[in-house]
Amino acid sequence: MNHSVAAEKFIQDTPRVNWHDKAVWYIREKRDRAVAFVPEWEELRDAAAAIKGETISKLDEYLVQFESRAKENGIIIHWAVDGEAHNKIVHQILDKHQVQLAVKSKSMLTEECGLNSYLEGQGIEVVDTDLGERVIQLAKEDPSHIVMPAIHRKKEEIGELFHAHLGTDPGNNDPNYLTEAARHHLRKKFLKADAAITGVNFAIAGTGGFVVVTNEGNADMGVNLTPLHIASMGIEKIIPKPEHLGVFLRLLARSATGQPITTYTSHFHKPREGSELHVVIVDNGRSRQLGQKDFRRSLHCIRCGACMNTCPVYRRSGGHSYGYSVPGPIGSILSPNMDPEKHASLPFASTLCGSCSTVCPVKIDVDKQLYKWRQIITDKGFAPTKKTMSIKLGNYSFSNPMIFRVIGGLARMGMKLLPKSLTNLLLIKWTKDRDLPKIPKRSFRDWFLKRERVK
Amino acid sequence: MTDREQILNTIAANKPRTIPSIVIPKFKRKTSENLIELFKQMVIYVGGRFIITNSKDIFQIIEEQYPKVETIYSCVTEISSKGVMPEKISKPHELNSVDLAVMEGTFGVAENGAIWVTEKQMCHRVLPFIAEHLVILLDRQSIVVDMHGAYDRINLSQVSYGTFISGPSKTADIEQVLVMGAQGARSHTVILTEN
Repeated sequence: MNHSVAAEKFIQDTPRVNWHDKAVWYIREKRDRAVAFVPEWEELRDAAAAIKGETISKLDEYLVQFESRAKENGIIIHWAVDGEAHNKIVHQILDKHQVQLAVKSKSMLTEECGLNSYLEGQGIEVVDTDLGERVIQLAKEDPSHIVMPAIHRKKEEIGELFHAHLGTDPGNNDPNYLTEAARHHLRKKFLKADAAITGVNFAIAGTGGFVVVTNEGNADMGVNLTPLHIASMGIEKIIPKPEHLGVFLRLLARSATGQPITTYTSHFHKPREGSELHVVIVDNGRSRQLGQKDFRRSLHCIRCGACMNTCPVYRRSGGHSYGYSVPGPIGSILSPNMDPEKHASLPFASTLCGSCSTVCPVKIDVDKQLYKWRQIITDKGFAPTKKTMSIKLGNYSFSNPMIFRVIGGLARMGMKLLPKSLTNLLLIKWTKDRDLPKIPKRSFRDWFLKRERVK
Repeated sequence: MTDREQILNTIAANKPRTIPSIVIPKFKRKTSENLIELFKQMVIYVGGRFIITNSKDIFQIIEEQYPKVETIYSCVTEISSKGVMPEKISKPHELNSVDLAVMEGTFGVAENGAIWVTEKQMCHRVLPFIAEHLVILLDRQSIVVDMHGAYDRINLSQVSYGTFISGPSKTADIEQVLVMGAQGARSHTVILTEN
């Protein structure tokens, strides 16, 4: 999947692009207002980055500590090197309990592993219970944002979807009405489910428990009704101590949606009486990322989505253009580690403006990593030929004064004489929505030499 | 090699040099801050109702707030349940008919209106989520400034399950329109009492 090709499709509908841009920017504005209430915001970001930095420097020790404390708490721990191993483990647990219907709250890790389609292939029904996730599940789509998975959908489309699947009145697109319909629909699923699957926001090494946050209460509703709770976590979700939650929880919701905290912040340390609690610890490329000095800080990410909301490219190209479970700037530095060839275009889907790094609550140097990935991707030969050719041409002409003068002269003539349709072909469509600047009659060199002569 | 060994070995080989742990800075607070007032503003901001009372008759206040509810499940000894027999509940699913749940919180957090509620206080883990409406009672002395203060008060290794609740269940997943009562409680009332 090439980002610019996919984005081109998205931008066909200009009013829709403007709507998407505004909807996403609105969340960035809410974030700014929430941040303004916290005078020590920058100190919190520093603390969060320092805690994450320390944690990943002892990640193996903290994981082992988490495992042993969690076992003492009665939690069953599993380890999965990759997505496939994760899916198999989850299926085995569900199979052992003869689960037919599992309810799942939002987990980007299970999206990354493709858990839903795997389980459905094994004959197990999985119902996503976060409203936005349920919308895209019914629409048979992937999430386009990690916090608001259905941000790309208009209420009219959701109305149609709910009419077809949940039997709501045709033409009634009132968000209150649609949410109410989903509530009734999902309540039935909660009461019928045999198991609940959740993600993990933070896993505390010191106490062997974990935290899951939601606004809807869907994670807690699922796990507190069913006799089986499976929580999937990436290895980077570890934090050393409970007191560190104070730092991260002050940053997370404010960065994500502009809320001072999510409605529910639930701490799981022991299974409910008569139920089983499993945690699957997943690597899936993360330990490899840890070994890359320039990129290991991407493991700080707490999945708030602030970098997407602020990104001029994300806002105007939509989450689906990225073709990866985590879109936007953070997805563009995580995905090349998974497959640099497949995701080669993503580090180029950026203006390198650095807004992402400015809002990141854990101070990931996103823009610098984007820039570094570009070099690696180009060195590996995965960059588009048009880009590598033009850079080579530039290098050749800039390092040969004679050639530079000739090409400069040709370009000035060409830009003046050629019609826009032809410059589009020649100049990699740069001029598609832009006009070329006014062409100077002569080069700086000509002007300078003439001036010297007059003197 | 098991997945566990493979993951731990790769991390050991790839991790950077050990970075020392940090001490979370102590943030300065204005001593003049009125914690109850701040907490109240945040509870309302996150969509909750706020009542402060000296009355001993909390049940009456609840009835005034929720005149139409038929079933009340109370986890508070001094407040009686109505239309539901707590001791007869054998499966959490039976709580689906509860209109209103009443429980105590341990403490509130002024910066975000959240209240810490433990498994013991909520009777059943699912109760604060499955009930249509939720009332949480809180001693007015039990307000901390922020989340740092909150974790100073919690001994997490002693809590099998506990949650911060800040306002009613909500979603803005359809075109950013805020809707209360997504999957959990439709309304959330905090009653600050005097002990």
